Amino acid sequence: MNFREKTAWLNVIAMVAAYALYFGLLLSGHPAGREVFPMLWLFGSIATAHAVTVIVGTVILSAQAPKPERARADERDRAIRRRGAAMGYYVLLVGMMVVGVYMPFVERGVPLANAGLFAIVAAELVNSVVVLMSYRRGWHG
Amino acid sequence: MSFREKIHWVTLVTMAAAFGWYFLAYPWQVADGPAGVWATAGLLVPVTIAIIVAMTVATAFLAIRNRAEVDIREDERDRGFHMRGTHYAYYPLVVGIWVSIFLVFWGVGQAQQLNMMIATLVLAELVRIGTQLYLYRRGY
Repeated sequence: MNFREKTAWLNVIAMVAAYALYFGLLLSGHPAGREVFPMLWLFGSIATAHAVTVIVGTVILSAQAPKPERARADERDRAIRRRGAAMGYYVLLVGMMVVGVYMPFVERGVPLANAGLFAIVAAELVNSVVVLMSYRRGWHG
Repeated sequence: MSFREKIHWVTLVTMAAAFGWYFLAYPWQVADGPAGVWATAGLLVPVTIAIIVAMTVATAFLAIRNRAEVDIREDERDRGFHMRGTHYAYYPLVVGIWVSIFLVFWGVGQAQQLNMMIATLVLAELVRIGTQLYLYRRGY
């Protein structure tokens, strides 16, 4: 498994762990689902932990990887990245329509913000999973 | 100009014209109240109908005039442009949704939030189609 594939795994695992915890807590009735400050506090803590995990993990993976693997992204890496973002775009587009065009008629405040966060997380997750699957399946653009 | 490129031009012009009219015609003086949300709903109906009608008529017209190209499937280059355009459009969409989340805490009214989201969607789609057209024109 090469360096870029390992970082794709790291992204997917860190994201699933962090946001499963966040949205799991919301579903179990945490005040972050209703009030601004608990939401900012919980989301801020989890997003920071997620970012630190990804940064530290990437540094460790980078230090362990042989130099040729750390070279700049080649044509295939760029094509895979574009493919991931393209798939994520459609997820986010649908999410944005639900959150931005339908939900303002029926919701407001924190639930709306959480729905927006869910749309971003879902899109980023699809993006990362597509990148990972493309490396696994040997997709080459 | 290929059939696909013409369709992209039609989409770009239709979206720019329809949503350009929407944002110009929107009664911004009521945007802070609940009436602003209903004004959005009221304006989105003619905008949606106009886009559907214009796209249907223009696509049918172009298909009749370019019969030879209608059944040609997307080739590698078209797919590459599509991916590239969608990739670039992803970022304005992400930024837009973050801005909208911050606006929730800023105490911005529902209608303004709604318009912000619509503007983000339109911008992202214009970036997506515009990038594809740029690549077709440039002959990438």
